[in-house]
Amino acid sequence: MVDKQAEQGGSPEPRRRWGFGSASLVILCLLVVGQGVGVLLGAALRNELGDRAWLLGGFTLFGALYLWTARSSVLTFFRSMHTGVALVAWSAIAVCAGVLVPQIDGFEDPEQRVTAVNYEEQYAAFRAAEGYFFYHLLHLYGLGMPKGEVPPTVEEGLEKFARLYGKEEGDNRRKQMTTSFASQPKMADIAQFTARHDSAFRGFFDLATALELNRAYKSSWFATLLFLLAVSVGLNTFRGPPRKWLGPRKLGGTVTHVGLVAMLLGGGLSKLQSERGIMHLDLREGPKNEYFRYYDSAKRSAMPFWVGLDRFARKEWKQLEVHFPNEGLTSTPPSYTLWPGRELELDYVTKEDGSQRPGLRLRVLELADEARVRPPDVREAGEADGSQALGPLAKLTLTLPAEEVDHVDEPGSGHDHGPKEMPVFLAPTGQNAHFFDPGWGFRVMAHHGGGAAEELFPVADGQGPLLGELSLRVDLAGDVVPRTVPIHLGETVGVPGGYVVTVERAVAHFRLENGTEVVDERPLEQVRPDNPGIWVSITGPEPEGADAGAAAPEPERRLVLEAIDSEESGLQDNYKFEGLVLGFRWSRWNAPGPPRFVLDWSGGEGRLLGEDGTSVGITAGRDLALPSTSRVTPLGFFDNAVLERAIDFMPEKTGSDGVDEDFYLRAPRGLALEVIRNPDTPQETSQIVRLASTSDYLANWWPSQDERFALRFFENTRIMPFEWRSVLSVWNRDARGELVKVDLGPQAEREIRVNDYFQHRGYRFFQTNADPSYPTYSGIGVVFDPGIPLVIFGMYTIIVGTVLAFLFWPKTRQSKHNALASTDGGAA
Amino acid sequence: MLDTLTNWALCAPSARYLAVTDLLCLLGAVASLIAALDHGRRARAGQSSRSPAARLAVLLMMVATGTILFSVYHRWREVNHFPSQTMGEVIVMFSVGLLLAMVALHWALGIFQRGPGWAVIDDLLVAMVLVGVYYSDAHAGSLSSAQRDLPPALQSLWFAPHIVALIFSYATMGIAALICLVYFCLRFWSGALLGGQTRASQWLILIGLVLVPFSQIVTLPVFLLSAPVFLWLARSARLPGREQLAKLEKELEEVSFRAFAVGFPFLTAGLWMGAFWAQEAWANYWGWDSKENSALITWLVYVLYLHLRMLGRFRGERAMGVLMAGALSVFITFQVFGYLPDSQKSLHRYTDESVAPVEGQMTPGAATAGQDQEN
Repeated sequence: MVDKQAEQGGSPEPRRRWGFGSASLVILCLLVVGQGVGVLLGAALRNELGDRAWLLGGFTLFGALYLWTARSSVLTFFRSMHTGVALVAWSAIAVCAGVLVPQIDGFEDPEQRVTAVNYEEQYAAFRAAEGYFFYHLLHLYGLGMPKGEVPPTVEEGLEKFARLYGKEEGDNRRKQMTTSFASQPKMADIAQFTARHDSAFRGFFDLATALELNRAYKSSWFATLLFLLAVSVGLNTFRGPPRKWLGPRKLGGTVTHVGLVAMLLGGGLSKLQSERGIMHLDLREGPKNEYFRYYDSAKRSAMPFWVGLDRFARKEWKQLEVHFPNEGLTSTPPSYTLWPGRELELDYVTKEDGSQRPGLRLRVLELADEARVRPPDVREAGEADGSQALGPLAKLTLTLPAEEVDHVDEPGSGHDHGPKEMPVFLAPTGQNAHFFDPGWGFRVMAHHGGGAAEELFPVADGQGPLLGELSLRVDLAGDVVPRTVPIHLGETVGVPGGYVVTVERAVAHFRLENGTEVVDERPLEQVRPDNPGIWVSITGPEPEGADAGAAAPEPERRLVLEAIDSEESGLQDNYKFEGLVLGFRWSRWNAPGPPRFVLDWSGGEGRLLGEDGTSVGITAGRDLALPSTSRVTPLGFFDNAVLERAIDFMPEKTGSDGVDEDFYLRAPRGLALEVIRNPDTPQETSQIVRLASTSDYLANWWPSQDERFALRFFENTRIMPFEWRSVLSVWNRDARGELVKVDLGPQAEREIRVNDYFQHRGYRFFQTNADPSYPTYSGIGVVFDPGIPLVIFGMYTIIVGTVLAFLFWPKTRQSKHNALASTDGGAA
Repeated sequence: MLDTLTNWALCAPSARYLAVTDLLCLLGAVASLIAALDHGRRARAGQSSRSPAARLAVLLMMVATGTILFSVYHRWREVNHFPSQTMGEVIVMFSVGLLLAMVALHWALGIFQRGPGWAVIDDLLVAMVLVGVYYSDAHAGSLSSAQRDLPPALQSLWFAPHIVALIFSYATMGIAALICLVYFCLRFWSGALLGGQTRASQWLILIGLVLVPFSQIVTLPVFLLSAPVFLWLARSARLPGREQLAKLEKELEEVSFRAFAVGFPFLTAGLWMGAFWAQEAWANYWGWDSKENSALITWLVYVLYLHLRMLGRFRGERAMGVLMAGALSVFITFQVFGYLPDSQKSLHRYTDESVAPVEGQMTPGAATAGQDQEN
């Protein structure tokens, strides 16, 4: 960067000698000036300076003239080794400031500032981050932090867990629990710490805001620093004749410096010209040319062309859970990601010599991207079927009229809109005991064996209509598992902790339009419960102590929807009584609705009982007499049925234009697994099991015959996906103003995924967002940045230069060492 | 290690090979210490021959390098991807880097070939690195070994080279810092016992070795352990004279620079490979993410060291002080990063135990009024 001979007075004219201190001070002054000019320039560009803009222009001109007249001194300053080193040191300190001071939310946006509107929000984030940092700095190595102990009951569970899932899984679960129990008191301590030092943090935040330390990388002082660095590197790279800086001794350094200058110039171009944002594309919508700058819906930019979403898919990891239902484990089982050849060893047993061996080995034989599950064959169970037998079961066919088909198909699934037949299985025990008409014309419940079928109809209990179950959990009362109570319309429930919950209104199908609830005026029983919920009012605990005489706080009005977990969705934090967690489950059988029927096949005869007391005998193959446009036809009744699994794996597909068609399939995935009992022993048995990742016909579930364990195969949507992909198309307006698709080649050329973006006319599009509950949406990042090629070139050049410098270094070291030997005093 | 050795059949192959590595490292460290004593005795007797214990230590170190590579190979099979997704896996990779770097530097620096007394320094360095590997693995063992799937952003060809280049450079820079540590211990105790150092210099060294947070977990034990050794050397009149020590210090400084020179190209390549990767993943070569910034600070500190040494002719305490500051920056980037204020919203928290990174972190807050659910 700097030629040391210049420092040694090689030039004939006397020059000022810069030291680290003086150079650093001058740089600091230049940063202050740069910041001031940057602020004023911003104001001038926003027309806020008025006539004073001339003053700024004059000042700039004067500064430029002064620098020109003093160019020799300027050159001396920038060519000083001390200046170069001080600039590197200042750069490190500046970057360090940005690491130690949390950058404000949205700092990527050059226009983002701390304002009166967002002050508290920005400060809260700052305080949380700084509080976390300072707390740990003051409790180095955990000294003085509160400790959390794993309760003995949890310890017992962990031992059982290790026996079932293996030592490694047991150890990992123990570490997880230890961390979890330790973090609770620690986080509480951190919260107290930050609250105690609030005024100090607020002062720090105000100072950081004033100095723009919390948007350091977008500040004018930082830009000034990088500009000075580029000037310094540039001026010191090409000193002397070319043979000097291209010779073997200096070539590496020269190349590195060229790369650095290119990178800084590219960065400057990026700062002046780049723009980032996000496009929200939907498979159901047309092309768009607008994107939201810096993810802000209020800042929209338009591109000179339109982008459409031709295809989109999110592929999840295929995982397996192994349950041991009779072991009474309360913790969730591990989820195993699957790949061909993976082996899992479980259910350890103790051998005679005291050592342990696995009692179960699972080996993944095949994974398929598309599995087709056919309606299973049903037969009466024999003795050999063991736990595979499901108990009583009725097999029926539901025939939907054409107008009802849309209710059961996903939008855009491409099914023919004609009458549709689908098999239905009803089992009195388990989750398939009920069947509800898609057109909401009737409700059916299965019955077989013990108890009178008539008893299944709900009996009026003098309260309002029974709606379902309300689950209640009070954090402050130390509840871990929620308490569940049946809930009626208008009922009031007292909750530990002094809360009182009253059900004010029930909604069978909650909908919003423009942020307002759409109230369905029909009677509750006529509305199909597609999105049921209840409106409740909650009063909090009575005030205590000094507040005992105060007026009771206003009740909170809360909507509790069946489909939304308030904690997972983050809604819980917004509630007035955030310590009270409520959940709701609508009882589709007991709540108001269409007529109820019981389908009974006890004692070898089938009959359909109506709530009104009617009883009609039924015959296989003849439609049931039900009040609906849908037809239900019984096919067979079984006392103890076995379903014969029918899962086919489809061959891999490859598109004609190079895309992986399987990726875009929304079909269930398939798994073939070898289940080996007592592996590596004389009692070893093996069985091949096929599963599919759909609950249709229980294709995702396989219980072992001895009921020791059960397997569940699924695609995990609760963790990061395996991958997301979108196929984009580009559109232009023609002379008539209509959008016309631009031919950009096969889909493979326009397919984007994380780590593989698509570029068109200077805009880069990359996959950034998706939502498993919104399968047609794809969030596409948009970047326009002409500085990228120069920066990337600079970075590659730096690597090449560094390798050259240290490849040549051993050869040149000796001569340099000799040259320095005479002057080596250990000081600069 | 003991837990794995006593539950051999219940442990995964990667854990078994790691336990064997740890055992070899402990044995190698003991052999190195024996070799150091033997080499000291030989140096006093004017003999230049190598101790068999030193040969055994190096052999154990090389075998340990082989076994830890087997461990990584098996871990790769066990998790079905390059094993650097969890912090436990990354720390084991650091152990691999330490062993590979020490094996390479052992021959590249050739410290043991410089003279009879130099073999002692080489033995101590090998012993410190082997103990370092043992403690790194012990720390990895205290973390969860559960398999974690690679999120989409990590499924890149850059993943392995970026991590390998950085980890190898961290290990090499760590070894350079260990040489500096030996230098400062030597300088402090020789100053305390023989004099010749300024009071300010002595205090600065003491504060640097004892009070600097995070680096003190390495510097403090070594500093304290070196005390009885130097006291014993002084008591038994075996401590070399001031001139010999000054020459030794100068050579140590040179050796530390050569170790740095091996690591710096890897650090540079690793840092900018991360930028290439970010460009492919998010079309954003530099997002001013705090992990990127911490790595950049480390690189700038080493650039500073390079310029101060090459152009400013910094030598001795000042140059080695900057070199140790670089190692501290490496440690902060590698292990302390999660506590830094600006790291809470970092995109680089994949290795955290308690953090499930969200791919859509590039879309903070309310992206649009009508599409809140997308975030």
